[in-house]
Amino acid sequence: MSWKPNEHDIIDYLYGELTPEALQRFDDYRQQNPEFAREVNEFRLTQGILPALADEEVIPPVPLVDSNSPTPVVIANKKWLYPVSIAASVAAILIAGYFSQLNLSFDENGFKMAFGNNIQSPQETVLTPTQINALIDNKVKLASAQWREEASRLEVGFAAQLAKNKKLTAAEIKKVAARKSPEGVEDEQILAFITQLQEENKRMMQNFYQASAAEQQKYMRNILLEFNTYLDQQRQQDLQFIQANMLELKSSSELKQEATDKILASIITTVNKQNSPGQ
Amino acid sequence: LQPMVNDTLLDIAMSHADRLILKARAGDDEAFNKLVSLWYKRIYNYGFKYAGSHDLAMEIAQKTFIAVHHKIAQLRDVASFKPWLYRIVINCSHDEIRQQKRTSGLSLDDSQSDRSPAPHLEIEDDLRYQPDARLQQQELADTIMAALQNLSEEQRVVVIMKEYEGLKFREIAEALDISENTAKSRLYYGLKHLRSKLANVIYENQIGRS
Repeated sequence: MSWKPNEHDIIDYLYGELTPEALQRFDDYRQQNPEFAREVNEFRLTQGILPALADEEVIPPVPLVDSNSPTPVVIANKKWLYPVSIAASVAAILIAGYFSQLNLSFDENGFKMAFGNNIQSPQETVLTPTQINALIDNKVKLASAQWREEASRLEVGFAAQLAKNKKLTAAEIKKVAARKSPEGVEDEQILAFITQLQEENKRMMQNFYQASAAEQQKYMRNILLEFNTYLDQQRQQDLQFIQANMLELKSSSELKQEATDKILASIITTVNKQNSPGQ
Repeated sequence: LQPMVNDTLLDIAMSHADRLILKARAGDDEAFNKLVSLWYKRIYNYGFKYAGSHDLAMEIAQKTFIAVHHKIAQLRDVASFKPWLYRIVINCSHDEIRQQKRTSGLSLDDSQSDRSPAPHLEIEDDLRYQPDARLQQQELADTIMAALQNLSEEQRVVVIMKEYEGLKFREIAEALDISENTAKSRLYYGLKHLRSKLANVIYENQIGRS
């Protein structure tokens, strides 16, 4: 047999790239040449031991490229970077805390950290329809009580005014009766006076009802305004709640995307290893 | 590049990777970041095996991805991304070692002693509770690493690309701008050199198995 495998053939054999015919020829030669077979076997053993130098696990740098920066920023995962960054963060928090009145508290709701004066935020309440009805009822009752009070005050005033008018009328009648005037003039005067009194009473009644109607309108408007403000606040809170949920959803989606990318990276690594017969 | 119904997971992964390359080439920084995440481990490990040092591997990976960011717009064919990327990492590795030699004033072999080992973030489960086995595994890995560093640069690059990175001969040839036969020759002599350097280990390993 004059054919002898060269270095390319050996490599093709080791990496399974020989055609079936070439493989047959190679195997025949190997069986007939023990020295060559030993050499090929040693190559195989060398290949077999190389995977003992396994891949190192590394964490990809984050962030890699800042869109706002004209040059890419690749932050390397240097092993000293973690403790240094943690220490720097703690130092920054302590300095900021010193200058901005850091408040730390721990209660049943968990650990809280705040800067500046501790302002008690109003408790967020979500009212039920019954509570809303009760709230409206209370407001209406309050308005009604105020209205009744006002009405009684006006009524008292009205009664007093009527009584005063009555006295005046009686006095005027007495005065007229006491006069010795011609019959025709006396009747006319009495009639005019009574008409004047009626007009005055009518005007007073009109004022009273107008005033009370205006007051009632004013109270109802106030109630509706307050209720509208309350609804507006509720709407704002709902929007904030939805926005927070959306942000959480986005964050969750990003985490899932990151996990997917890691799986893909793992697949690429696996594929590379599968392509490598030594692994 | 749209995923099809009958695509395998690998097809979907490759399609996703290709889409990221296209987006990154068009200037999408988010896609570029994801591309880095996908390839960082491979590039770091190439640099680690090439330079034998965690710190140098980090530098190599960093410089490689900065270079990729600068040059990705010039990438013509998405299909040739892998050899293109490895060509960049080869150049960055070469430059990094040359710079290291220049600044330290030592020869490449002399500088081995200064190189820091990589942090071992993960330990295989079966070795976690077997300190002896773990030590042996580490010693074996160190021996192989030392043998790799002993290869010529040309041979080392080809051995790492084929044995550890799983590149095809066509891709190695494309990355190094050489013929496939030249790549095979370099691999042959690289493995031959490793065989002689690792003869004792191979022998002990065989005895251990038998």
